[in-house]
Amino acid sequence: MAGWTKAEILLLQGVFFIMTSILWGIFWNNFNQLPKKINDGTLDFDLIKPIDSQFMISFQHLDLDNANSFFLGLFTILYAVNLGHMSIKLINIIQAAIFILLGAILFYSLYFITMSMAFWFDRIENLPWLFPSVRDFMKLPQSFYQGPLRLLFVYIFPIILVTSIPTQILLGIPSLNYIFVLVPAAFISLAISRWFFHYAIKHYSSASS
Amino acid sequence: MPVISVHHLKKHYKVHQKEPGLMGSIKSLVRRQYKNVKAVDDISFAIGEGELIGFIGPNGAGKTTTLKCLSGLLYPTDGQVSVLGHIPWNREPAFQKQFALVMGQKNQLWWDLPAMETFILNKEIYEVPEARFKKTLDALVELLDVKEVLNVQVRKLSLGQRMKCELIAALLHSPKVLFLDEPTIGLDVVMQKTMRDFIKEYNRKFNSTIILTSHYMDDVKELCERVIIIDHGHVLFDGKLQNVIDRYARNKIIEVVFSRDVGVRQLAEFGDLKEYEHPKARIVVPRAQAAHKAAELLQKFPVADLNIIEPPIEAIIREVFTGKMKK
Repeated sequence: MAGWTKAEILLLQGVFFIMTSILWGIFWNNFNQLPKKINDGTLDFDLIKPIDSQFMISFQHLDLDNANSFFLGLFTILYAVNLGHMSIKLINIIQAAIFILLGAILFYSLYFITMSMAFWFDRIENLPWLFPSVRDFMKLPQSFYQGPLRLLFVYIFPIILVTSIPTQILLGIPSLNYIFVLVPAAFISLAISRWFFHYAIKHYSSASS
Repeated sequence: MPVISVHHLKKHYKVHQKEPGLMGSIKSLVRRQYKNVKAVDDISFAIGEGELIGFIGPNGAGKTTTLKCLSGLLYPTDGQVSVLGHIPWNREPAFQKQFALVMGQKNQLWWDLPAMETFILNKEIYEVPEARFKKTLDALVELLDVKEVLNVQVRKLSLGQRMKCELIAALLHSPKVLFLDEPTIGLDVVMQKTMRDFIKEYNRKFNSTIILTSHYMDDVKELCERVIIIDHGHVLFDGKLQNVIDRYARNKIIEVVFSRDVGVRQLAEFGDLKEYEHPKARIVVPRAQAAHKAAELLQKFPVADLNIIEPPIEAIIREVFTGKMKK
């Protein structure tokens, strides 16, 4: 598919599992509760604490169930390596891990920006689902996307790169250039998410008691 | 220098209005109608260190909104607020470490975990040193008598036990300023009394500045020397509780005990006869004429005992709110 072998696609799935286990294990529960907390006013208690509110909202609950997908991801990678008779160098694993981290920051920031919109809408239980619905795009190699989709998901919201690039690195395809895309993308969106959150909480109206 | 000062605070909300039914929903999609709600409309006051203020007003008067502006949760529409020298809505950690907000209708305790877990989390968040944490916790647990329930899941606690634990969670960092929003709501009489005693003691012992809102006049009567009465986002009265009576009470009540039966009709001529069940009667008379009427009663009737009393504070405040006695 798009020039990728079965083993290579499997490797991508393994990276995808690891990525989602990190993102879901940390953020899903927290983000899922945010609209409810805004709606019933219990967010008050998070906001008055002498601690960064964005941190508090993002990391309050950890969901260890997602450790399963992490190990599933590792297993899939091992299986793919075995199937494709690949040999992966340690340096590539380290580089891939760095790209996974950058990707996680990018994905988190875009997700958090979406969630901050909950401050404007009274009831928006569907909002936490909006961003995860795009995650399936991450299951396919980036070369699969052409035309407008490529423009959107590689250059504007480069979320496809989040899984594709670590996979390419593991496969030994030279991809380090993408650091010039992902580093700015990750940190600029993180900065925007912080700025947007501070703008958003000015619209927080709390809830009547 | 006051600990809390509020100048011309305003908080207006734009509230979307929707007609009932499906047609209303469709209409509101096309053209949304907004109404400007003035939750707080020009409120000013100043509170000194160690004061315990009663904040009273009917539902929707703007009490909670004011407290939320003071906590930095809401950005006001207009006006200046300073709490401990900070502007609350800048939400500086240095400020946030010095105050606490307790809301009787919302809980910060983790529902599925024992209260102790929340206490430890708060200790880390507020960076309370271990030794001080232990000392404060022991003192609070002792005062509120909740030793047995600390390690029980919060959802298994009674409302009273939960409220006590809520208080502890809010006080572990020894806040200098404390906002109590209806802390006694829904509690039974005994538990209300326990809470009241605790608040009084806490205020006295630590000289903390406290604003208390409550719908129970007993809370206010027992705890607060000074009250701020607000309604429709305005301050109606700010001063000693006793002065509310002097300023707003139009009437006094004469309580008489007769030695012989007297006619109801004759009594009714004296004023508003509230109750008469021989030998006791209660007559409401205009304040200025109280002494005169009492003398007249003594002269005309066989009186065994007579008392002139002030109407209960609840009744006066109720009249203030129903608008009978606006300045």
